[in-house]
Amino acid sequence: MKETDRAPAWFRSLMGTPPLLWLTIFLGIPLLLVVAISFTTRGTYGGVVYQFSLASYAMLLDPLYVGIMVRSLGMATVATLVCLLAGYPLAAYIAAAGPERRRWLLMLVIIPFCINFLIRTYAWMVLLRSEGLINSLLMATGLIESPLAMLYTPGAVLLGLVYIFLPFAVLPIYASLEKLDPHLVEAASDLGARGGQVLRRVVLPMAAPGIAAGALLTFIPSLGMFVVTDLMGGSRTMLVGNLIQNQFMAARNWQLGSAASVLLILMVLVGLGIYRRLFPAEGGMGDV
Amino acid sequence: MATVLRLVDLCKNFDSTPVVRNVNLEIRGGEFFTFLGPSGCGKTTTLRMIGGFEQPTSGRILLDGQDITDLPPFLRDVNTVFQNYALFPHMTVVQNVAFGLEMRGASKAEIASRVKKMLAIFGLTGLEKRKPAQLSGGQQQRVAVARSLVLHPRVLLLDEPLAALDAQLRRQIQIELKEIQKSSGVTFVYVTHDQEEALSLSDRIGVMREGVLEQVATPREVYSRPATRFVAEFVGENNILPVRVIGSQGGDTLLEMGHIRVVARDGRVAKGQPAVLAIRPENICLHAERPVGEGNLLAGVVRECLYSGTSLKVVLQLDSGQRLLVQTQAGASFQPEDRVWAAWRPENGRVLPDHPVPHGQVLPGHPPNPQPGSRRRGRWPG
Amino acid sequence: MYRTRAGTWGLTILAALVYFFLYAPILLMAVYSFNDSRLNITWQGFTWKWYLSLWQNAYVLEAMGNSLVVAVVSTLLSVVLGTTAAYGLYRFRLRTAKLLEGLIFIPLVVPDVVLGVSLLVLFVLAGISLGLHTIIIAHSVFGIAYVAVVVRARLAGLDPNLEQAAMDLGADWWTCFHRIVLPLILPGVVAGGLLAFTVSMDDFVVTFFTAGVGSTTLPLRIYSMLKLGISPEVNALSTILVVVIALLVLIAQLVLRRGANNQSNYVGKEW
Repeated sequence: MKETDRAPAWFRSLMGTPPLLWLTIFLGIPLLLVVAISFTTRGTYGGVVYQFSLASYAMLLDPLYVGIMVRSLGMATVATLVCLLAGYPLAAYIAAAGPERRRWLLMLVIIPFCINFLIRTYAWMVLLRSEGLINSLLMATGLIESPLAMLYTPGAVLLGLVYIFLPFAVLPIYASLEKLDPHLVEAASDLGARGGQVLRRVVLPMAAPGIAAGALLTFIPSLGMFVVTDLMGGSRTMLVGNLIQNQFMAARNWQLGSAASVLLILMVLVGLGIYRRLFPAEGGMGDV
Repeated sequence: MATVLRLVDLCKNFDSTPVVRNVNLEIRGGEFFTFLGPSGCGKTTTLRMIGGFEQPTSGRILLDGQDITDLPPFLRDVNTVFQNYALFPHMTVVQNVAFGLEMRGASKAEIASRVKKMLAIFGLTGLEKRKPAQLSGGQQQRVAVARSLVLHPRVLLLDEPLAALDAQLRRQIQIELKEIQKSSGVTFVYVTHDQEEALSLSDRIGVMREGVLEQVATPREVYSRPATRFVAEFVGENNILPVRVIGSQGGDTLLEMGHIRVVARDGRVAKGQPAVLAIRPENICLHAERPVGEGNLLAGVVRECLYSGTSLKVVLQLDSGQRLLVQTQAGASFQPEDRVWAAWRPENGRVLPDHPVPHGQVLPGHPPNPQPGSRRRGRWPG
Repeated sequence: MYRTRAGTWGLTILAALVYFFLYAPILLMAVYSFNDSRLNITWQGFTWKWYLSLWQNAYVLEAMGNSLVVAVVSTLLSVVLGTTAAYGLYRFRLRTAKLLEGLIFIPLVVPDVVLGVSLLVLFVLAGISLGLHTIIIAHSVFGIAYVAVVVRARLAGLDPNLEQAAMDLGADWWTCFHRIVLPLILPGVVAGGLLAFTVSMDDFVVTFFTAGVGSTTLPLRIYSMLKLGISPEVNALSTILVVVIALLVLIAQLVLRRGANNQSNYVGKEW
């Protein structure tokens, strides 16, 4: 039982107030500003005119922007699925290893996780570009005559997203598989379940929270990603992240950028809502 | 001896559920006082209010006549030994024991000498540099007591301090605690759900149930003259037989159990009130033949004999269908299916007002099935 | 775990493929950083020259310095504010608890691009010029969240009786906090601080929106080099960073393991 009544006011405010103020000013208010600006009118020279308007949201209904939203969702979804499909076997492999080997295998996942994603994006740029290793090898073996256009395609963006976020999917799945009591698997097979049935009926349900957390950790940042598109997608693959970046940095249409941000937040909230609905006990991603 | 601690109309609600109700109590200087009751009875909450960790909903706490109800824990001259000891894991034994003295601003030399003396008393010499995780359970327990006692508090509060120890160690430390309490002269207020522990350690016991202090008395009195049916059931083993009060004769109360009349010497239950008769198993004599002469007598059949080394416990099924537990000498030779007579003296039956036990409630420490040799049982299922 | 022999082999091969996928590009990039060819295609011989030219690249060194300043200051801010937030939420029923919890949760789920533009909007509207200070503020926002989350996890394992015992022995609130609570949650505070530091050093997106002229951090510098195109200097710089990260992870691993071993020694001595 917490005894809360007795702490003197000064002590309580010392502990609670500074972080609250700081985060309100530099997190709460800025986000509210973005929401507010999305409802204002754009001035002639791109400034903010404080007049209520839904024009930016109306603009987002333009097929061009609808296309961007749909492509972003699609790209993030496919990247997430690929990450889970590739990440699960790896997580299962690590979890099945002995404690000593497991530490090293895990470390091999953590290292790319820690390397800046710009560098990891760059590594693929080197490989994929027309003069890159893959094209050179293919041409040298005579499989192709002229270099394939691999960089600056949607496929390259997808590859980049998967490459960057794969460790984000592996780690939570591993965490849930590691907690899995091996006796459960033994009990299931003792009761007559075969390999596939054990996986489907026992292992996957128990690992589901980890898989969902991995999905969330891949999906949310993929959705807002603009750098990979920027570097590997060229101008043809615009996602919502690029849209926001453009409106704030180049086009100076804060209203449209804010509206797109609000929409992005809503998409994230939907994903988060689904996760919370499915796993009410997990409490979000704070523990990842 | 003078009163050290006074609780006046002490009440505590958790989210409007009362857990301590109108507790009034005076604890005397140098006394070993024990709050005894099942878990959830409010004994720990009472202790925590004395320690300053819970704010009473109403009522006052007085230490040496001074109202300390609103003082924070660090301004009260009482100290607590926590159930899990709450030793600071990042400090050594010495640092733990010195902590309180340091907080009082005692000089380095004084701290050193008092800590050293304390560790010697508790047999902890040689373990000074150890961290709590490097100590055994019994050693941790001793450090916890030493850490509080080094401050010579007016009252030392102990919240089930032996609960985490195994039975043998518990008995050993019980003896140590009692000796230390006597030699230090510090008032101990102790909380336990273990009635045996309470009986053997305490000068006085307060039995609590559902937030109410049901009886405050010496161990002997709590055992032999329980004030309520609950106390009779909770402390030691007791046969609880429903009876009807039909009148009184001299100092005796006349009772009816079914068609059988019995007599009890004491009783404060008025005619017509629901009542039970509590009889200790060891106060019942078994006879193979119907004895002649006066006295209370019930006939039944032996159902079970439980041999425990020092005694033989016999479970009877009375003719009325009820069960009766009898404790007799180990040498007695009764067999299941024997027809026997159970007799007891009027002064050994205690008439108590009945109170319904909430349906389905099993008191902690009271398994629904009898266990041979167990003395922790209260009520014999009848 | 129970598996068939064929299943084990299949899993091993899959895992090997995924590891190959994770490491092949990075290793190739590292190999080419030693290639004596600006075009980076065919192997023309071993050289250190890209590393040397990197060492003479004042922009990169300046960016490195900026990154360190930002990371150190924002980590200090994050540790102080994140720890007090976590302790406040753990210890007291703050009236503002829901709000504070929400604010701590937001940076963990809102895409970085939105965090970045929202801070940009604030700084522009408030007339604050962009520079190292705005990057520090921006990094402190998610740094606080990381520290608070880690410290809260540590606090959750803290025995509440310890604080009560300290008060019982005469410690007031402040003494209790810095003599008992702080030493016990210190591993969490350090871990949270390291996390905040790493994320700050690593951050590109939020920095991208909150940096001004002359406040280029290392990731920003790398980005502008990438925008200019493939160059062996980038390979060299990336390789250095990869090696540093790998070494740090290795050290962390070894330190953590020693910690774990010490822990088990404790248990061993218990009897």
